[in-house]
Amino acid sequence: MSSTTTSGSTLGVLTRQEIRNYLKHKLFWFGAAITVLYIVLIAVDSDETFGETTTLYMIAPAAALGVLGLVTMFGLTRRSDRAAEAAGAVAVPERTRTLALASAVVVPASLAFVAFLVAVVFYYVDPPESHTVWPEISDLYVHATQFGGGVMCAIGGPLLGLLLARYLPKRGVAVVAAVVLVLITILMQGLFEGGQPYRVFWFWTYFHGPYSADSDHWTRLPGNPFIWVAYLAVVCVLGVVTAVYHDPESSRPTLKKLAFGLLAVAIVLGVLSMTVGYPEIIHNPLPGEF
Amino acid sequence: MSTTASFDRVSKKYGRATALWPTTLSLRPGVVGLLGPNGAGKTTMLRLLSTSLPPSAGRITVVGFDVTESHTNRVEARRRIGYCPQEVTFPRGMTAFAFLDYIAVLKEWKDSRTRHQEVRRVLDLVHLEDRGSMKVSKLSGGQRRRLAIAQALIGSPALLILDEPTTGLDPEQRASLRGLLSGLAGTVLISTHQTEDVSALCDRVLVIDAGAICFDGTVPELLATAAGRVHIGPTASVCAVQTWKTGTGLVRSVGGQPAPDSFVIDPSVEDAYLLLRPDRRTTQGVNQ
Repeated sequence: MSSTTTSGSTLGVLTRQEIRNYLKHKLFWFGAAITVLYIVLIAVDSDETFGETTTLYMIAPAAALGVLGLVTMFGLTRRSDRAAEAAGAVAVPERTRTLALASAVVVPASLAFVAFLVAVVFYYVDPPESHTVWPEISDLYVHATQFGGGVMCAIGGPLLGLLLARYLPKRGVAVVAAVVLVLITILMQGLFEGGQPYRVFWFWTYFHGPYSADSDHWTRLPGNPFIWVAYLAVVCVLGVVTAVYHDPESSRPTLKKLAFGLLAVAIVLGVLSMTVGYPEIIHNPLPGEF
Repeated sequence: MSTTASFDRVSKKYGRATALWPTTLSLRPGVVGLLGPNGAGKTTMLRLLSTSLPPSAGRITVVGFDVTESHTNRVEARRRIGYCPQEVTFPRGMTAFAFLDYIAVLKEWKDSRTRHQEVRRVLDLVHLEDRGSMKVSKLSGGQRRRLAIAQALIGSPALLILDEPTTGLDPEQRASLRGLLSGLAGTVLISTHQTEDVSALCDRVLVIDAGAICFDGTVPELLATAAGRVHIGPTASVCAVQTWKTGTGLVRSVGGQPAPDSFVIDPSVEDAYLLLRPDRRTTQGVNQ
């Protein structure tokens, strides 16, 4: 019989293991290096080009921690599954491993949050030019888009990797998913006018930037970034619940109810972020420097 | 002796195919060998016992817990089971120590100090103490097999289930494994094709064929079923189950009608096993 000396819960012990595994993953280190470089560039570069675009977009954490995080988490989940399969049936169920893996997103999320804080600080230290952020755009609006596009993407990417590993545990799925994700992001970033309102259902999207079909002015796209952040958070929780649901020994009826409840909330928040607050495209009266 | 595990009319179907017919048996402390041809239902039986697979019907009890009754009972049983599957796909990038450490966590070893001690203990048991820091991918096939066995030994389980544990091991490693298993206190169930392991190690033998147990007894009892049915001589026996020419030039015949100039020899476990298989091959031989 196992000698189960108690020192914290199994979930706690497993979470610490998965956090260590995430921290040791080479792909995370690659993404972390890019993010740190981004933070350093924000700190040292007072040049307006960098300050205007990349700082506002948080593209480095979104891509380096979010998209690469998808592949990282997929690999960690498969590794955990293989270890569990090697032992046959173990006392710790799949759902506990799923929750531990989901908890490991604290690693990319923390780094993305640091990047977000640095971006916020330098937003005030070295304010963006008026042709990028103009009076119709509040500081909080900018920070909400930074938080959603940076921190939430760094959480959403790895959770998507976890979800894929649970339901499509095939070799190469993570890489294909990352490529598809980038392609969808190109479509959903708001470049195409007809699809602009619906882009808020996607994590990796923009709310304002130097893209405009009919002018060379910075543009604020429709949508409410504050509700959007709440929508992203609910989608993340829904992803975890759906991943836990995969365990055949989990309490599926309860999880199903919870998942449908979260889905309903996510749809409502998504629709609200699309319709409430900022319904129109607004162009900056000042021309940009394209 | 107390019963470690039992099957009460347990059966398993995959769709319309029956992998295990209703089976009743009990396992007590000691080493039990499970013999049978490929596809006989050995792995299904082991997976049912390890709670990896739910039965289609019947009741399975492990260390007093009815695992078919509730999830709580299954978890309690799993705390007392060590299982080494037939094929193990190891996780990528892990060292042998990290692999065992992770599985120890899955077996609820929460305190890192005692867990690491346990990992070192099982590495010692399978003679991989100097391979702990090596990546699993760098280990040889035999070393990986021993690593798979080591994970099953974590926590000294009351019921140890090993599916073909000696595959890929050299004779020295097999002998070493026999020494290890024979010294364990609990119940050990080994599925194997290696009849020498059964004769050298097992207190009891189960032979399964086509999803049904066709023999349950001790090694001497199994040998007794073949007494007087194995012959050696210049020519093969008529309608023998198996014949082959030995190194001496004489032909060894298992079953069948002995040739006039042949003589009876002591059967091996393998001979007895071959003779236990259904009569269809003998019948086919007669028909041919």
